[in-house]
Amino acid sequence: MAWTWFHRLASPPHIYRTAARLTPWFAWPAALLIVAGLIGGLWLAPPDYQQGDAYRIMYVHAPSAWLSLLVYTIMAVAGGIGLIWRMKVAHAVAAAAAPIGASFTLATLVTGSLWGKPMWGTYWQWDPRLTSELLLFFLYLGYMGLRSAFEDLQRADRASAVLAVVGVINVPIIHYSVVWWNSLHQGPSVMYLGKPTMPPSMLVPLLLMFLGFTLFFAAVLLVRLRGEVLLRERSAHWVLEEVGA
Amino acid sequence: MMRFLDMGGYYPWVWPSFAVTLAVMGLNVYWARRLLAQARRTALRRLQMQEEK
Amino acid sequence: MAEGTILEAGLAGAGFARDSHPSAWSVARLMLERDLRLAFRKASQLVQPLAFFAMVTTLFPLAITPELSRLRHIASGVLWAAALLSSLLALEFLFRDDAQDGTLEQYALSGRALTGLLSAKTAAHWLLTGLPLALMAPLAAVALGVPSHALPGILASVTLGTVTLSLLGAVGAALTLGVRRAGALLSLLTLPLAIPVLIFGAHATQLAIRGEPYGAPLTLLAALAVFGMTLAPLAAAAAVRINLE
Repeated sequence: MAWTWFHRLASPPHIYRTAARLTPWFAWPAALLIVAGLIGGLWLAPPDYQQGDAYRIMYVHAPSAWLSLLVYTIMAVAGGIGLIWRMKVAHAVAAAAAPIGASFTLATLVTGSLWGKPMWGTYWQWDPRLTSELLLFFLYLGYMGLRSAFEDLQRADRASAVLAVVGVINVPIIHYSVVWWNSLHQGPSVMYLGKPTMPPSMLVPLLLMFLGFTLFFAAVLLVRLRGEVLLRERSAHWVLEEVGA
Repeated sequence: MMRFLDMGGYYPWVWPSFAVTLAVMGLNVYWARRLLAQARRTALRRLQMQEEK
Repeated sequence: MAEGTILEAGLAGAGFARDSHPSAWSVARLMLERDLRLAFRKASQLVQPLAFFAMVTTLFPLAITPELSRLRHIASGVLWAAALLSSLLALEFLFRDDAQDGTLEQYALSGRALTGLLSAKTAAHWLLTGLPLALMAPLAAVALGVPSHALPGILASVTLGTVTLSLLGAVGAALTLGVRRAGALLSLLTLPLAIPVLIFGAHATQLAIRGEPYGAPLTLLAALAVFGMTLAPLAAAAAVRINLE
């Protein structure tokens, strides 16, 4: 059947070994890209004509914000796959991704408010992006809270997968309602991203950071995934070969 | 060099931002490795218990 | 076991032969009737969320100011925050008894679509908690200095908003069925998802207080309710099955 390759691909020992093999292939490029992005963003890129050097916070803020959304989506898709095809490995991916996503959401909030102080004159502004990000952080907390509330790992996997799917359907609704809410109250909106003309010397480091953060996430995910797969495999023969050296 | 560290006067916000993000990355690496090490230890213990039976 | 706790017995009692196949609608109607009848035997459960709602709205004049002209400005926020909190409080009664005495398990095993049964249960829950809250909101509004021309708008928006709150709450309550002392977790799961209801509802209320047309946010509230009606029972049914396994 056409499905056999799929199942072999998703078999825990195969995933465990492949994850171990692939990790350095993500980790080293991630490190290189992030170092290059840091040099480019902090040193080579010119100061912004409006924001001066404060705009450089973007080089860590924007990629963190990107990861916060990407990881939530991956978590929900993996959870959905796990629910539909009853695939343990997919649930392991979701479990591995959640803390990474939550930590980058927190980083986005902290860097956003550090950026807000020089730009808005206050650490916290009820700006639609920051507010949505805060709500996303609560969604992550709820997800991880639900996961840890169950003792049975399988039940935790499946219940939190339902929550992630419900959450990911709601994320756009929450975001647009927050944008709508903000437009009514006319907060001072500082648009820092998506400037129409960003010179290449500013743009290239940003792209390097985006790619570097994404690869970094992949590398950390693979390490965590191995741990989560081991936790889900009781008394399997392959675990003996892998661990009992 | 001082001009670089000063960040046009924005140093109190620029450097903490980078520090926080890099700290989050470092913690992620640390937590991931700890999770894997713990999972391996538990698996090993479980296997040893099986052998004793 | 209390009479009428098992679906089959309920059906038999309602004049259906044991092996006849009543339509999904009549089963849903029976469920609704059963839930309403059981609830009225424990009237205190119905009164508590309402008393809580009244109590929370009383806190604000005491904490901020007794001046009605100033309270009027924050009335929409007070009403909606109180409505959200008391609907959370009421969620505890949604599945708890039925899960404890095994009724929920019987539903899941009855071979009938669990989504339909849970929709009926959620409808009963809304009739018992959401609707009374909506009827009480105009009273609380008057106490906060809201002019009487705003009361129809408040009634309409809280009525529509509580429908979505009950549906979201059903998902949250179903997810935490197997969790002991789930109160804080339940609010962490449900509140972020309820933000759009809060935003649109509070805005409709505010417009109504100002005497402006509030059709737009009301339509959005209705859209959320319809959207919730189509998807929430599916998620709740999946969650109930996971927790019963």
